[in-house]
Amino acid sequence: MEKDNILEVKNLHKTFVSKKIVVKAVTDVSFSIHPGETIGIVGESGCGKTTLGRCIARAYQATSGEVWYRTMEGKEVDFLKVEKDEMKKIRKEIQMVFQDPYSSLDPRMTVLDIIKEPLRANYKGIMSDKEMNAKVMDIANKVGLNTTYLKRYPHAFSGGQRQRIGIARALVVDPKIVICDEAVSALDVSVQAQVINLLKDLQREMHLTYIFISHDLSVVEHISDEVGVMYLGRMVEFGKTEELFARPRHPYTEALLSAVPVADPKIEIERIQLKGEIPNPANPPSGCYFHERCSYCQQKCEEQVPPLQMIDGRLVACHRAEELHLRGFDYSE
Amino acid sequence: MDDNMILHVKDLNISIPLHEGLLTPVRGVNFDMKKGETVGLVGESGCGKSLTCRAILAINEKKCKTSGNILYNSDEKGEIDLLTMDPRGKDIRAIRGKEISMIFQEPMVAFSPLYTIGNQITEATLLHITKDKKKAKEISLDVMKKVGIANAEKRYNQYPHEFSGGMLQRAMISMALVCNPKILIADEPTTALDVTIQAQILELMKEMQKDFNMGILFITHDLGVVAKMCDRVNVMYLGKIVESGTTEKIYEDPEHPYTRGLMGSVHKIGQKKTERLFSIEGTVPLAMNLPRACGFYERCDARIEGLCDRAEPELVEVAPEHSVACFACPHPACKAQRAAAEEMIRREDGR
Ligand SMILES: Nc1ncnc2c1ncn2[C@@H]1O[C@H](COP(=O)(O)OP(=O)(O)OP(=O)(O)O)[C@@H](O)[C@H]1O
Ligand SMILES: Nc1ncnc2c1ncn2[C@@H]1O[C@H](COP(=O)(O)OP(=O)(O)OP(=O)(O)O)[C@@H](O)[C@H]1O
Ligand code: SF4
Ligand SMILES: [Mg+2]
Ligand SMILES: [Mg+2]
Repeated sequence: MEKDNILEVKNLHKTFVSKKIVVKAVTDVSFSIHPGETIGIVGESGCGKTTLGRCIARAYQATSGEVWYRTMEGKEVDFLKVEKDEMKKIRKEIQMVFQDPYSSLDPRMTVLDIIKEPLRANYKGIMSDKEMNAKVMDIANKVGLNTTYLKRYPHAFSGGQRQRIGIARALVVDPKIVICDEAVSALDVSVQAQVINLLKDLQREMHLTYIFISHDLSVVEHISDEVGVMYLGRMVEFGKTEELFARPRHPYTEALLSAVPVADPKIEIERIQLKGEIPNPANPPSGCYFHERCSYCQQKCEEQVPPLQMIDGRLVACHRAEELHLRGFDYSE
Repeated sequence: MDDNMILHVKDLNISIPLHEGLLTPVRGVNFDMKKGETVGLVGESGCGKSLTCRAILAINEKKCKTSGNILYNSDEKGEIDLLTMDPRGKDIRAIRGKEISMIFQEPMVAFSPLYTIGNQITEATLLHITKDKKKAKEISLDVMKKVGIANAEKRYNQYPHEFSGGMLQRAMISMALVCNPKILIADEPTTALDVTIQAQILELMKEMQKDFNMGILFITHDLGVVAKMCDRVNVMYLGKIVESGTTEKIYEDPEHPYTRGLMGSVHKIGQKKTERLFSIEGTVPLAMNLPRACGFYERCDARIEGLCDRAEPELVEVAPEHSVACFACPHPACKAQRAAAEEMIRREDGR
């Protein structure tokens, strides 16, 4: 591992097989993160973001690849191959906030027990029940959950409140890396701003590293140091946030940025219409996975998979990345 | 109801008895919808948006006690109050899913894990549109394609857990649109989708709206989406509508302090990077044993002490198509409301 990285994902693959259909949900994804930073992951619905996150957290078994992680004790381990005993110790260091706040909370447990569960799993015999409750109260307060609610069951909470429960549950064990999968999407913008400010404060306080998966590009732009763009299971672009938003280098990124809805009824931005349909991950197109929908496509694109290469400090997988001038956001003001 | 109206929600109240006390999450909601119009409902997480729209379809849990009127202008039967119908009866079921249908915040709720996606969409088609199984399947596949589900024939035979979050959302949208409803209630319909598919779906909804003169009640936290979709916006806080107006009015010139705070919290890409985002201080109170006061009082930067904490402002019309519920608002109608409240407080204190 490079010494200033906390995590290095290398050639990660995940394939689902069900009823003779083979879905390559994640194909050859590599990237690395510095401690205390935030990586944003964006991309088409179904492009494999959640699967990638779950593989890193070992909630799914990756098909192949490595996830090198520097533990709290400073040891370098391949998180995917850590043995049971060792795993017990470090599992809590990588936590995930799940996308669907409805199905990810057990309806038969009170909110208190839901948030307490990871403490029970990791600190049984080490922490008393009273200490655990105190910790739950503390984190519930921090994420803005009214603590008088804690004895209730999750169905009595609105979507936004459930989302905070999920965040509290992930943070209660003092993790190092938190994978936030659409962690603030269900919140109204003001509460969203509160939670994002909170996530940033906690990041500083607890020296957390975030992998932040979201469809909300304005949130990603605000919170991330670097952003990865995925398309059909592959990472097609990766770079510094502002640079990437100001000047995308992959045509899919350009289309994505052009579709961001602007909170002003009088502004009508011309959206780049993607041709054709979303390709089927069980039967991906030849060459560049994006070629059928790309308006810059040339013959080479149909035939060869473009490698992810470094251009001006940006990783891009497009044959024409160097020559194209794509449109992004204007940062001049 | 006027002929051009399709829905009128009048003084809707919902309360839920809990063992700690009575929760009053919806406290006198009023709004209406014209035929073919898109009305937005925005507001703080937990302010009662989902309960309100589920009340329209009578699909809230039994323990939710509901009062008021939900007047629906049916083509066949004229004006009917949906609240007077038996929630499990035949009449409401004929309306639910056919004339009024809904897209949920959590797609997992809409589908049973036991049946394939295709089966479930076709079931809705069979129930309301045609008894011909082959035709129903064709219609179902057709909408699945329309909402952008690739390889619809194969997807038809898959189960909900095999879909990604976004794809499941699209499947649900196709199920809601399969019967060409008169009113579509969309509760966070595109939150789980990426922005390109979101744009596609919003355009699709607009198209269907034009084709069938469908009214849409649109609930979302994304104020960019509201700006794009809605003709009018209702802003809700702690179970009440605190401001209502045309989309342009609400965005350009919001009057209620909560609306102003909400609009100010929007982060725009390309803006100068600030370390912290603006947000309204504090958290919303629990809707239980609420004092007679403006619900926003604790967090409001325009509050008038001795008034806003002792009386609750009602929604009053300050201009055509624009209403506000705030004592500090400078419009004559609000001033009149303020004067009356002050008078009442004086009388109370005089005693
Ligand atoms: N358990 C599973 N079994 C089979 N296929 C799956 C499973 N989970 C995900 N997939 C498939 O893998 C692909 C990637 O799904 P994933 O949920 O990772 O996408 P995503 O990028 O998170 O999408 P979204 O933005 O909609 O949440 C999809 O084609 C999906 O259908
Ligand atoms: N079945 C229930 N039992 C008890 N309380 C409930 C129930 N359903 C909703 N509530 C409470 O009622 C309030 C309003 O809930 P609702 O789901 O309508 O909020 P919402 O405005 O849709 O929020 P969000 O934007 O987060 O989805 C919340 O405080 C919630 O905790
Ligand atoms: S490689 Fe070709 S098809 Fe793919 S994004 Fe670049 S220009 Fe478009
Ligand atoms: Mg996902
Ligand atoms: Mg809701």
